[in-house]
Amino acid sequence: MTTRRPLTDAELAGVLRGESEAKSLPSSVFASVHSATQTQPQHTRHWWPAPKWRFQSMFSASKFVVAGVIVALLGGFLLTGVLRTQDVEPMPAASITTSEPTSAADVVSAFVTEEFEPGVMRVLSDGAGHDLAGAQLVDIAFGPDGTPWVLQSQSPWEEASVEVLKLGSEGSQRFENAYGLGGDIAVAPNGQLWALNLVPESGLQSFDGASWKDHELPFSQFDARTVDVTADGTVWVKREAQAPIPNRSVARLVDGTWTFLPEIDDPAWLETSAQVYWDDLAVTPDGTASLVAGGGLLQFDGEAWEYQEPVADRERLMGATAIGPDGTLWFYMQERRSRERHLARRDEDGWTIYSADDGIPTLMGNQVFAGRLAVDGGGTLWAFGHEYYEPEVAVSECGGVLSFDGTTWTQYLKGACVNHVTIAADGSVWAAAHAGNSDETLNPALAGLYVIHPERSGGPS
Amino acid sequence: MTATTSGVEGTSAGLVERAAHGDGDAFDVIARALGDALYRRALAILRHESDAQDATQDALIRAWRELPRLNDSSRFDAWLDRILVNACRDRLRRRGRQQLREIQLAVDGRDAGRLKTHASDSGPDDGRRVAIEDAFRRLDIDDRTLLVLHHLEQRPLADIAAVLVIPTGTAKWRLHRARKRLERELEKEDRP
Repeated sequence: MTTRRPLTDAELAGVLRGESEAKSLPSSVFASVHSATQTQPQHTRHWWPAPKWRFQSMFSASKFVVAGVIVALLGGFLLTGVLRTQDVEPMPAASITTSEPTSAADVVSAFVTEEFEPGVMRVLSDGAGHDLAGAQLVDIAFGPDGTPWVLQSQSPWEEASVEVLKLGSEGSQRFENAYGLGGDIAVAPNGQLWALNLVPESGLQSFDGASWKDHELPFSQFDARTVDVTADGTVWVKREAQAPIPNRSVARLVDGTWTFLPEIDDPAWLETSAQVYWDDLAVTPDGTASLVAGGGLLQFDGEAWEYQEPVADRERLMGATAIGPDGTLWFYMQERRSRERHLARRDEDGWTIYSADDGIPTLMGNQVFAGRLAVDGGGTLWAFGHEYYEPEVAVSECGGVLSFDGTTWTQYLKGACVNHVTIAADGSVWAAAHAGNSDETLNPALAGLYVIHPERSGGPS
Repeated sequence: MTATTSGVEGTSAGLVERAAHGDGDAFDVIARALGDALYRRALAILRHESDAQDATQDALIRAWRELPRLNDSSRFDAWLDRILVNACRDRLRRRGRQQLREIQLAVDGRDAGRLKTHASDSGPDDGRRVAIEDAFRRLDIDDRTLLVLHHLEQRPLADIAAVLVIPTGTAKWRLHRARKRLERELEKEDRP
């Protein structure tokens, strides 16, 4: 979490506007333009084909027509071929909801894999031989049938290069999204795919297996950070918004209508004057939202916020919050002044606070790591990230994946730029890696899909 | 024909056609209708009044001369926007060279003509505004144009792409990049 104040759209628009709204073009300029229209000659209009076209004499009019027809036919043929290769393979709608539940292990067994390091399998290709080694993966999510979906971006810096792969044991289905740069994906209980996107301007799209549909976000698409879908089908979109307005930071789409979380009006919490950021809040599949901010834990049960208990003093900067399926909650925090790193774990036995003396890796000081947490079924914390975009102010390093079970830290995939980690139902940890964004971290050889089985890793590294 | 603060919309095809065939009076009508909006856009991009006036004048005169080459009059508005952005680019280049030459002369008058932010808005946010303003000035012309068209004029990405003659997807990515660059520059401003 950063201490700097985020730049808001309203601020930017206000500064850009400045005093220009009241400005008019001086009459002297209009006079100059008028003078030009009376005195300056215009360029001559050239109708095609231009007279100086050097090949014009080679063609009579009839030859020109014939050549045009040939070019059109050839172009049409080639275009048809191109379209065929780029065509979106339609997924039968029925297959979304009727797939038999499977396990990540079933899916992986159909893949071509290799052992990358102890306990870590690298997926080289899917069941149909589609190459995944080196694929630039942005996100990974699991469908209700256990099928992994990955968001692949051929080049994160260029347009229209995003596709979603539904990885199956019979091969992968590919769904291109011509709109380009993807952000985050989630799969709903009914199998519908949801994706954050910068384009179109709606910012959020769903895919039902046959077509994409735009959903207008209630805020700028540039602020949206994550999308989740809870068991009841509610779509949650977290926004990187200016605090302290948690009620405006998280929007929920229910039956086609956006609603924001209610304001926190608990006096104990309000006293803290806390700032709330999108990664302070974790949503569990049952629709409970947990927020650690302002020195306290609050939970939203679908109706109202309830202040649970204090967890830290107010001088601490809060970081990301994550909750596992058993309810184990982790959050990362830094001291406001000393920048000392802490981790807090809350389970059925209460709170445990870990400090640097407990071996919190320096890498956790990387703000990307601090903001990307996951918790597996055993309550183990998983932190991941690639690099911070501002090397001058933060650790710029692709550090792979870190895990911490409360006793031991383990690092996997060192050097890989892991963009997302998702825990599968069978406990395996799936990591999506891309090539990296900066010269310091670029490592395309490690891009791709990895499956971590911590129980097979043979101990900490 | 309508001119709005968010852009130029629906310039009459008939007027454009007449101007394209040498009717100076028709072009005067176009210039009168669109001049203020073009000027405000140039002002938002360049942050300098006299430069913005010069850029607007350059753009209108250039448009007058080039208009016969515009085959599709329905695309006049985006075409004129492109000319304006190019005129702003030229002005910014000249301004850069001029500042190098004038640096020994300019003392109190160095910032004369620079666009002020809301003078009536006093208070703690003034420093913040100055920081954003200075961060914006360090961006190149394309980044500035993207941010102005999107955040100030709230133009659709397809329009922005047409002005910059780039695919919509590229406009989207460049806009994202421009915003990040601005935030980086602002962070440098915020740093003690």
